[in-house]
Amino acid sequence: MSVLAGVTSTLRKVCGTLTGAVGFAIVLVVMVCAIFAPWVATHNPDALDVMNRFAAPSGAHWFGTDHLGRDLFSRMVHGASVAMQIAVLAIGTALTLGTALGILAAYLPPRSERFVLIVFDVISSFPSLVLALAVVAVFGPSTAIVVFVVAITLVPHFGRVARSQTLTLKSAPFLEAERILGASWPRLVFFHVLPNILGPLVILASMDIPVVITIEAGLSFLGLGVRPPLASWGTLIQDGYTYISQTWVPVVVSSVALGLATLGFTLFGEALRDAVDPRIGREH
Amino acid sequence: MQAETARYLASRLVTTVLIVFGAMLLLFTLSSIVPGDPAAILLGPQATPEYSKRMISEMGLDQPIHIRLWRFFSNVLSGNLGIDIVSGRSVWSMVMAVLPYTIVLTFSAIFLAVITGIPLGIFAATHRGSLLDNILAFISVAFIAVPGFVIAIFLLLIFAIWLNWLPVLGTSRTGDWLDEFRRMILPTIALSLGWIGFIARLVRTSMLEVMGENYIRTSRAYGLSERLITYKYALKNACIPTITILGLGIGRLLGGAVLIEIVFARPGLGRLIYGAISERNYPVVQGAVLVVVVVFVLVNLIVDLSYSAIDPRIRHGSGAQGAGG
Amino acid sequence: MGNKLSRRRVLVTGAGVAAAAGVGWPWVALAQSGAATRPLLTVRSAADFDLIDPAHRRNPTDGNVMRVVYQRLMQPKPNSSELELDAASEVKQVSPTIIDFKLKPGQMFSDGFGEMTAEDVKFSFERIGLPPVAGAKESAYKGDWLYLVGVEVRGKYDGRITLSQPRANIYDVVIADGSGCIVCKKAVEQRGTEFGIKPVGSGQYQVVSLDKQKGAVLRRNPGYKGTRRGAFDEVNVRVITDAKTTELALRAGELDFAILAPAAADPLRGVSGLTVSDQPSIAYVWMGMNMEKGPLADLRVRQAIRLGVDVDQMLLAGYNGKVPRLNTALPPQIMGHWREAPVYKRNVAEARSLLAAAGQSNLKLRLTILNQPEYQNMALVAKALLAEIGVNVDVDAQPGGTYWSSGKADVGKNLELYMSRFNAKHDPNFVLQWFTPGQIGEWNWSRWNSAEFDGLFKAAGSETDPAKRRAMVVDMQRAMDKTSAFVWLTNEASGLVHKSWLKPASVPGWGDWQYADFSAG
Repeated sequence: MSVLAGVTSTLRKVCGTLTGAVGFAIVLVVMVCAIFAPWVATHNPDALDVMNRFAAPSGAHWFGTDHLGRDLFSRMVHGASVAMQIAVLAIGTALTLGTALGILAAYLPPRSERFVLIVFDVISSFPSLVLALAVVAVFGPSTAIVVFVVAITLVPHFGRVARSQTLTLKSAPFLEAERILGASWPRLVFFHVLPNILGPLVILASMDIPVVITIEAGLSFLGLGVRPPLASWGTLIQDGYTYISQTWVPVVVSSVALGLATLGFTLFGEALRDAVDPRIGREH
Repeated sequence: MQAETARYLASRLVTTVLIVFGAMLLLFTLSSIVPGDPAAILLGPQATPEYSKRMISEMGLDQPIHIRLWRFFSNVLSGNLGIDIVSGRSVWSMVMAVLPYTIVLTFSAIFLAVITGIPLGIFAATHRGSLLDNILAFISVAFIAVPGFVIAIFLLLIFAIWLNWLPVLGTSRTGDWLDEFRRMILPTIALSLGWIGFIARLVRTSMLEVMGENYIRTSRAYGLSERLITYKYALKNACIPTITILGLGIGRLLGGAVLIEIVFARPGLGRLIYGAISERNYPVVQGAVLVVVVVFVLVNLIVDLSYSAIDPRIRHGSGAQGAGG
Repeated sequence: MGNKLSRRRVLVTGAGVAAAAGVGWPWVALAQSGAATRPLLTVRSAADFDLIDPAHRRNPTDGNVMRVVYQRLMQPKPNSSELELDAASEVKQVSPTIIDFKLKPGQMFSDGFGEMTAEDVKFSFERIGLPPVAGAKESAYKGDWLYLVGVEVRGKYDGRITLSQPRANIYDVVIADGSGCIVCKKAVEQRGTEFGIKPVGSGQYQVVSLDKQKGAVLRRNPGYKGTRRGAFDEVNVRVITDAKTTELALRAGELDFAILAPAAADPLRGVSGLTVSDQPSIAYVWMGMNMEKGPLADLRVRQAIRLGVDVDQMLLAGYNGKVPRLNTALPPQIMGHWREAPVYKRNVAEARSLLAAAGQSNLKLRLTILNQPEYQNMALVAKALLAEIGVNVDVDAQPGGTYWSSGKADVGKNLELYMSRFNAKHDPNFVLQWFTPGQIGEWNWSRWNSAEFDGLFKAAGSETDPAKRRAMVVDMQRAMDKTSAFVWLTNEASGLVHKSWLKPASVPGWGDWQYADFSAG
């Protein structure tokens, strides 16, 4: 079955359920905002207008303005872009690194495998807050730092799943057959192992997007997030929270945006997994 | 079987020690590259260069990493977590002073999450595809999505200000049990909502996976009642990933409920670590992080060991979940 | 400063310190003894406790509790910066470098530690001002007791303080302030490191419990012999770091008193039962430039930057417009404040031409700030304004740990633009000390190296004639203005929020709250 046909049939299955369809719709909106932010936004998100702070929603400013007079709608749209950048980069890095280490661990002799697992556990047990604070202290807050911290935190997550998937696969007959036929180790990994374990990993990754966005929001609350004046949903929520007594619109709007985006990605991810995983497909 | 278990246990303990050592090595490496002069931060302009130098040498920061690690671990083995340079008190007493608050909050939140999340998950799994399942899906994900501190402030605005049912400040002045309990309600809810959503989704998914498994179909073919199947088999197996998550959660929450602690003005291990790092108060950071890491690793060890009690199919070291959780 | 350090002046009622010049203080000091007592006062503290010990205190939270737990030889009157006697019955300036004091008899320390004697005074001052003995830790406040030679015990209640040089501010900043608190020698020796959390003093209140991250409970000290008895039987100081939580606690009635930023205090104005007022502070906030770094070494560039920003707009963004503008280093309440300081208005054309004359057309500069909302907002406005004169600013918001070291040592050489805030005291030398050449690499982040300023500073430190001293201080501020390396922003303001029946008390603008003088109206 060609890749395109496979993708379309999966998508159709996903949109077959209500939750899947809603999730897909939301994901689509977020991706459009993220990729086409400069066109979707109505104003320059960094344009200050201090005299016009805390303006209520109006024709000129659809969601009103924030504490420095910047258009909230435009900042939210660009926030989608930032959130997606961070999510894609962080998850992409973690996925690559984690999968590589996981596959490696599955094929290594027990002692080295144990070493890799210990590294995973060290990272998991280390309070991510400490890591974030330390890294920010050394390099200063920035988008790259957020990506770095989130990626490191997620590596064990993907690594373990990759490893257990590979282990299950290792004893599969077709792999044995390939090995006997003389396939080299890299060929085995890239052409046989990887395609078979990538499915669950990708679904896991899509479900991690909301986690990443929420982590970024938390880091922004502590002042460790992206550099001002960059608009990220985390900073928008933090700013809205600070000035909630002046106007409740920013914090509600950004929280709802974050909530909806997370909802969309989670529902989409779950529907994707339901559509792909043969075990759930069976109705009871 | 006994010998195998004993060997497994021993090997896991060794792994635990290595993990703790690895985490502390990471911490010490970070602390040697992180800039910032503790004296300047603590005292501002009051700190003279001599005072700064003295503080740095008292914290041992002028020593190379391996010496600091050696000293730290030899102290720990003799029961000393370090001395807070600023106040002269032992780090152990500082950690012990805030640990009860963190433990109580963590366990309350997990408890609430479990007794709420599991029934919701079961309900969603058994009523799959219905309107209620979809609504629960939205609600669960909403809980997961919205950051804890946003939930916290909305809870405060609604329950403490508008309705005036519950207090704002998370700890009591008098130490009276009932007052402390009242004050813990909102922080617990704020902390557990995300977990409720997560556990509900997880239980639902796990049960759906299991319910499609062969042995379940066989049981059904043999005429066992639906209810029995659901609760005895499906649920029991759905518990495994849930327990894993809870294990991770307990460990995480011990060091990570900082935002909730700040918003509700509650003491906690997370705040202690956060404050100590911001001040570059390294002895306190080292001692507190050690406690967090050790608890995390021990909890996960217990979780891993309890797998075999629940599902004998999971063999040590090569099971679907993998050693080390 | 009103003290005349003449030989035979007997200070019975305390020196007349030039208090708030032209800054209105809304409350009249209320009588203390005889007022109705209430059981509990709950106040907020923004920072956590460390040690209630004059030698090792950390921040105002410690300080406020310290001043009701210990007595001092002299103390400020309620709601005033004028001084009156406290533990001493007499304080006499015998010579410019010698001060004699006589304690009141019968002042008892709490926890059964006995009577206060001159030994305790000697111990208290020397443990801060002199090199530490027998393994004790050096005090960070050693500088407060600068030039202390020693305290001589001349009788059970009599003692003599000897300095090596005269000090104009010894009464206000030292004897009547934190470093002048009198601790019980026996208790310190007995309790060691525990002393800071179980202090023993002779003040109006004693510490019943002290919990980090939570708060302190103070209860009335029955052994207190003074007149300012305290209207409340118990004072609960709650540590709440988050401003939002503080606001909610005030609304819910769980706090009686709190200080918030004016912008945060504003929304509480309408709440019934609460009173909100703005009180100007004596902090000083400014945007500074590293005079040794690259293009900033050119005076014209610095002048251009000063003319390129609009301070009023920055204050509007940073503080909601609720703070007064500052045009010189010394806030208005402090003696020597330069009233005729120029008020710079934005002038884009002139800024551009200055830059062109200096040959700098496309400057890129980094603005280092503490990552708190006020500074972030002001920095973003400055960035937008400076973009219009052709200066490209990159805002570098650092968390506390890194920020406070960014101007020091070698790192400080790379500093370009920065924003900073210091707390002041009612003494011009205290305020201006951080700009002397000796502070380069420490707290002189602009790296201003001026021998003239240094000379004036030293002279003003020992000048006893107030008029002469004032003139020197104004000259120092003029010199600072000429460098154009300091764009003064504000001296800040505090929003006081409290229950309407409560009458707080403090030393004006100082942020030193006098818990024992709070009363129920």
